[in-house]
Amino acid sequence: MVSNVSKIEIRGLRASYGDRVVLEDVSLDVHEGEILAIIGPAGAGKTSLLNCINRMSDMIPGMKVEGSIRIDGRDVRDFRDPSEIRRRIGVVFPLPVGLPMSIFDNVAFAPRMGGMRDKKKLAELVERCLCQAALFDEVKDRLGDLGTRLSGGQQQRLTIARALSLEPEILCLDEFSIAVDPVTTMKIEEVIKELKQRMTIILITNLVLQARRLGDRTALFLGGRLVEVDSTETIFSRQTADVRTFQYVQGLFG
Amino acid sequence: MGSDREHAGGTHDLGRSRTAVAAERVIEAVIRICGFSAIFFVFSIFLFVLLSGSDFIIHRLDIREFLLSPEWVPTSVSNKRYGTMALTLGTFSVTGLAMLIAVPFGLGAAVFVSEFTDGRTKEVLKVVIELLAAIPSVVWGFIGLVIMNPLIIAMFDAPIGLNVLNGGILLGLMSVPIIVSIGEDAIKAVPDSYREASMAMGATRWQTVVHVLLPAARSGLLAAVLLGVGRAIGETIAVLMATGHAVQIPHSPLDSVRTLTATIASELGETARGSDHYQALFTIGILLFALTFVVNLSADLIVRGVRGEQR
Amino acid sequence: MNAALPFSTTDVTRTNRRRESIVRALLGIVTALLVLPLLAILALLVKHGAPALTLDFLLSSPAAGMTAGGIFPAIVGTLWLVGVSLAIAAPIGVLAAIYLNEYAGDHWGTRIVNLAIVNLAGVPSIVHALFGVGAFVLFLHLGTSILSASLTLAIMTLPVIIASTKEALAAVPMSFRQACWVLGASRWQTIRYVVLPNSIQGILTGVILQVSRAAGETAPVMFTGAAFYLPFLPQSVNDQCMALSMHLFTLSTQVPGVPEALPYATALVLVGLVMSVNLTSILLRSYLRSRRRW
Repeated sequence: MVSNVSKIEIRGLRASYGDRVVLEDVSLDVHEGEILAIIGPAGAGKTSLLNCINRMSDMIPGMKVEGSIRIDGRDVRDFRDPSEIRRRIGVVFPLPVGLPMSIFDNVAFAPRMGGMRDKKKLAELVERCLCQAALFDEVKDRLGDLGTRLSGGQQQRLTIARALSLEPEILCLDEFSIAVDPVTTMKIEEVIKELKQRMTIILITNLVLQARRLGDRTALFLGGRLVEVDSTETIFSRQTADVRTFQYVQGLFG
Repeated sequence: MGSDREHAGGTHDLGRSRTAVAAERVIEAVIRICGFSAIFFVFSIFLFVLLSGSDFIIHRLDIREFLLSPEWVPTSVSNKRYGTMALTLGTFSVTGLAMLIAVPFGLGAAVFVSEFTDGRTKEVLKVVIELLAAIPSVVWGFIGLVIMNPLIIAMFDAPIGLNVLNGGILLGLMSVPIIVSIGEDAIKAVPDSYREASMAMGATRWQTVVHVLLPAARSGLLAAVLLGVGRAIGETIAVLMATGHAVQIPHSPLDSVRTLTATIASELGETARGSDHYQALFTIGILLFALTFVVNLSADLIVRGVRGEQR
Repeated sequence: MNAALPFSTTDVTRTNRRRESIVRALLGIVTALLVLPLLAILALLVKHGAPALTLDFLLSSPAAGMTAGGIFPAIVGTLWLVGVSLAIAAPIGVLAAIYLNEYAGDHWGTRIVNLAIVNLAGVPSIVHALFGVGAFVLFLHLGTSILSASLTLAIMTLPVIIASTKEALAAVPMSFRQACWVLGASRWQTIRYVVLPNSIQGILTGVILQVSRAAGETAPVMFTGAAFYLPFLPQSVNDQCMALSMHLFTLSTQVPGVPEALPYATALVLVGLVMSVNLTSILLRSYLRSRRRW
């Protein structure tokens, strides 16, 4: 499935909050159907990159974005309604957020907001997404319960199910394992491998080994700049183009 | 490949109906209009009150006389005088006495409710305090007239029971609820870990309160007291009914006085629009505005500072 | 046994325990002294007012120079004033709070507005009365009328409604909003389906408390629309009306020779009205708090 066709093309991206520059001169391609792992220490600009791609930057007061981001060749800023892009990009945050509504409604939320009314279709969709997120078996008897009452690990999978409800072309996971136990982390990693068949995945992670396990390619960010992007094999070998990459993946700083 | 979508039935191409999007635009426009008009109302009050007194302030007001003369004789034919000293001291004396009552009682009750009760007792006490706050000021004034007045005459052998003492007690009771509820919030906001650490070292509850909670909550408690002061300064009808309506500098709690607020309430009905007297009342309004503004602003800043520290 | 120690720990504990119970008792008494006035006032009002509180009293007009008869026009007038002022202040206040909290962002402009609102919420009601007389009665030529008085009450309650609504909205975690936005929900959809359903309790309690405040206030309506005595009921917002609070003020300060039971019964009705509104809000709050969803 991995191809060399670019799903997302980022060119000369610069982002800042007031005087603070969080991304500088970033040019990066995300290929159709790959898992691109993005690693780097806290404050490297990984999450800001995500906010630029799905135009959440619009909602953040004082955030300024320059440069271009194209999805399927179309600049994200050409969309008059940013909702349209966000529906094509599923996002999973570091901390699980169950919306204060039933498990069913959590997953049905986005399709409903998009105008889907058909009850039967919604029910099918919810079941399919919960299955894909490996949560269905645990909650199938209590879909009416509050999403906020699930355990952290379950809420994180609920968040994934919710992100899948729009059948996005791109799925972004931002340090999803930060608040999740190791068993759930492994479960979710299996889910990600499954999903790779059908969508492009950006995996932001603070765990270098997770990038190695899952990433087709891996990109390293430091201080708002892209240091290096290459096949995961290369990044984790001794042949890195930049010595900092070698040092970082070996845990010599970070 | 490119933009060709393999998974048919993707939901994002459903799109929302045009009417839904249009309705949303209308709603958001209404929200914006309400936002702006509320902002307009808020600032128009400041401006209007200020402008209504401006002619008087600029042309006829002797600021020294206004603030420092005790002679408030706005209706004299030959020699109108607009000194608010007596009125200001009336307000301060009643407010001061009220705080003598409200601060110890309010903070005591706040500590008691927060640290020495729980469950049902706490709920009931909070409801009672809230209901105490709900009694309209005209009812308090009525109590001052029919209950406190004869009581004070009998107890202190005073010629009249409508005085600083009467108004002070009423205002004290009226300000207590706000001090209790804000004070309790402030004490409650102290992290439980402080309490546990103190108790773990063998301190009793009371020692914990005195040495740990009160110092930690002091800004919030100060804000609570300030809001109580603001409430007392601004109260009108109760003090109008209970303080005896005498423009004079009080020398004892048994003297009758008149406050700034009561002066406006009792004279606004009799003044002609635009007259000096009318504008003088607006000037008193500006004075009150400024007083409560300073008090509330400090309370607000203190509370904000507390929240900032806790983050 | 403890002779080797510099002091006996048991003695210290005992003293502490005794001091603790004394303090607890003292604070308890202080608190009880606050509960007492409420009970005393209610008891007095009931004792002196209840005998006069008949259906006839509630449903007839004052008579014989207000020394006899009932308070029907005052009840009707208060309902008018509260109803009209609420119809103005509640929607504007709630929507304005939504604007300020959800749309306006955080910059120096909104900070000044927020500061102004917080402080206006604490401005004495007599200053609002001044504004009402100057702006509505005279400047806009609305005269002394229900409209002027209600607008004055609305201006008085507006900042408090905005402040309490904003607080309720801000209590909904930001993460919920972000979760909705990334799912492609618009700002308004997020507000309508997530923020409002989870803040409605706080918004309602705030608004209801202002109902009780508007019903109890005297100063703002005194010069703007409430009359001492009117033999007829108001037909439109351009008429003047009587009001319970104003009526109690008039009975107890302006009219000589009123039988004692009349003002007591009036006060009882006013306090009963205000307290039942407050109790409603307290019950609503505790009911909705029990169904909190996160």
